[in-house]
Amino acid sequence: MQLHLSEDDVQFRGDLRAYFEAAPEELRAAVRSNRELSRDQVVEGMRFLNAAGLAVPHWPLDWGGRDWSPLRHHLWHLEVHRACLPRPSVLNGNLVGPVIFTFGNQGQKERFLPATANMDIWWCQGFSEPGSGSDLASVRTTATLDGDEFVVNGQKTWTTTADLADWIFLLVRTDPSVKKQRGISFLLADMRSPGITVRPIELIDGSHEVCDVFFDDVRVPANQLIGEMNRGWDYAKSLLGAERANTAPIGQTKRWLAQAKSELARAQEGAGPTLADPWVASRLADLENELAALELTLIRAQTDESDKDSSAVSILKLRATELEQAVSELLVDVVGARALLVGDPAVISPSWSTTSAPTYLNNRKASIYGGSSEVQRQIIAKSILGL
Amino acid sequence: MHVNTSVEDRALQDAIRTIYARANATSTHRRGAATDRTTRATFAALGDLGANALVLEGSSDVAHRGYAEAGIVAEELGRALAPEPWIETVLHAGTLLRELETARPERDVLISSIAGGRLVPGLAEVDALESAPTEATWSAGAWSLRGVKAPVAVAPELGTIVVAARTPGGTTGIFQVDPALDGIEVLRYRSFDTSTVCRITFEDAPAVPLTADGFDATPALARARAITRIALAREAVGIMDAALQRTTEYLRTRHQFGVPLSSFQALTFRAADMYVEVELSRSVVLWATMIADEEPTQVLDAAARAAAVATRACRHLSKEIVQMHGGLGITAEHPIAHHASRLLALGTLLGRREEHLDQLARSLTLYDTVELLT
Repeated sequence: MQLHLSEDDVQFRGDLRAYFEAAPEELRAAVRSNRELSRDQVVEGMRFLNAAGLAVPHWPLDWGGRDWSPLRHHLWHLEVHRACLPRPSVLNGNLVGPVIFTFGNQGQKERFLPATANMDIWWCQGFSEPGSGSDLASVRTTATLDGDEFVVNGQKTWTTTADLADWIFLLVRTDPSVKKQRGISFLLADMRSPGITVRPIELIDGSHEVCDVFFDDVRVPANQLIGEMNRGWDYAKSLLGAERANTAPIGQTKRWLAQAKSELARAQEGAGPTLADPWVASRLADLENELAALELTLIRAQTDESDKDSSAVSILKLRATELEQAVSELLVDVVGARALLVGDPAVISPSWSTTSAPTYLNNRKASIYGGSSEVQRQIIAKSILGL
Repeated sequence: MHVNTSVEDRALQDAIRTIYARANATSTHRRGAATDRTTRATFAALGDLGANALVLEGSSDVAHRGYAEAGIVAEELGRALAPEPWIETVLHAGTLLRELETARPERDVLISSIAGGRLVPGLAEVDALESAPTEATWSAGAWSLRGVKAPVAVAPELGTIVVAARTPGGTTGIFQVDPALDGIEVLRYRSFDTSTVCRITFEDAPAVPLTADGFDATPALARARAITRIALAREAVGIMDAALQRTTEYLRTRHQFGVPLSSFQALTFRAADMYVEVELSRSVVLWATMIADEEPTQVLDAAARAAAVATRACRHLSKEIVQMHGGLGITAEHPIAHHASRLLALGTLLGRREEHLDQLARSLTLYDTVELLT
């Protein structure tokens, strides 16, 4: 833990900030106003970063990564959100990308990695199934080898942006006769393959960000198998750790809170609670403080000199998602009954008034996805406390 | 979660642990079993080790003020559940004296004595009644004090009392009082966490001024309180570490219904929540310790941040560790109850969460986000 950045790191941060603030203003404005971004805007953001080699800095140097200290990766994360850039694709950059460069063959790396970094391919994650949520290893979507193709049958659910995606990475059962973890393979499939049907799922806030994906005798070339057959669970475990680490971006939550604070400071009395109300100020100060404690814990975890023990990641995911939800809850409390006026153009201040409740409802997912809070507690209890 | 510790820090840790291993040899836990004799001996051992000197005189290097070392001592005292109020006495009084921007020569002599371990101070800051502050008056060529201070934490050997008193000019001055003289009554009580706490009454008590006429010690008092709270929060982290370890051990070994308690997910999940609270507290307290040591101008807010997180953790854990031990958690004979009562006491010494949040709220509009790396 350190209080100050070295002069080099201050320069580093300044350079990032300068580049990020030069991003197209329309894009930054869309992010700043917390509007839902279009597919094109998300891609534009990733490509803006990738043009400067800043989209996937944690990847190997050969594939677009940077030789940065953990602290510099943290600074990059904070600056991306401070500049109101679209969040770099986690599915591409943190989930499937690392699996391909760690476990894929040279042909697969060349075919997929550059396109993944540049978001020429938009990936979605075919993991969860109706019968397999927390118990992911119980997946039943099958893949049977027929010549030089796998034939895939089954259903994936909860697949974020499957309706926008070009490709999907799948956990499939290739051997049903062995212990469940031993019969899973990791397969990449083109979403345009015949036999794939995507059905958006309406969420509690009215959005459709996740989908069901049905596989009906879908043929997938065998050279799209990553690594060895039936070793997929090992690859997935490494991916799940990365998912845990990336599911709650502190930088983004900090920005939301800063925005809320700034609006509440400018709000007019008589139009609802403002920063002048002690309870509002107190709760805001508390959330800022809790985020600071979490960020310090993240910095400790990143600069840990001992054997890299990933237990810290579970603390971070558990707590970060709670704080994310607490921010959306504070906004609902501030807005009060005007939160009911969803879609009413007459309600303009604070800016989040009519979206506060749908956002809160949508954010309930944060403690469920990426390994639910219950799973994180289980991991902490078992692997840290020995219970 | 791992904490990176330097070689020097580890040496200090080990030295304190050795002192406490010796002290604990005859009892399973210090609180409740400690006597005046053992407490005196341990205070002396800490002085002999040089812990006092390390913290109060360790460095004239402006960039490093000895509070990092104080934090290490504090955490180890907590881990050992030490009854010695080293933080509330040596550290708090010594820090106040150091924090005085200017002072009479007697102040330096006093710091030396405390640092050398030859004199154990009490710090009489809190008035028994806010509406009746302790007053210092000048008469016939001497200063004397009148008033009541309570609570004051003291060691068995109260060598000297450092007192904050209102002067005729309205400013707060710092005075030194010899408890052996007339006009000073020290009533000792054994508190709920087995600490010794006093009510000290001054009635025309002779006092030696440590600060000059007209000097206001209010800012120095605030900084010393902040630095001490950071150390108390560190003691709390040490206690919570030890308490959590005891609790998980209990869950693993205690059997009911033919299975260990760790079979019940309701309990293991609560243990996981405690672990998260402790790690979050540790992070912010370690950071605040660095601030105290390196960025003195920010220590008031840093203490508020650390205390806001730590008081909540203290309160939560003090309840949970008792609950998870069942009936044993409520008995005085079992160590865990003493962890719980000390955590409750520390919570009160750290100040109310509401007040810390109010303090932080006052500067909300001065910045966008909390910048931890500048």
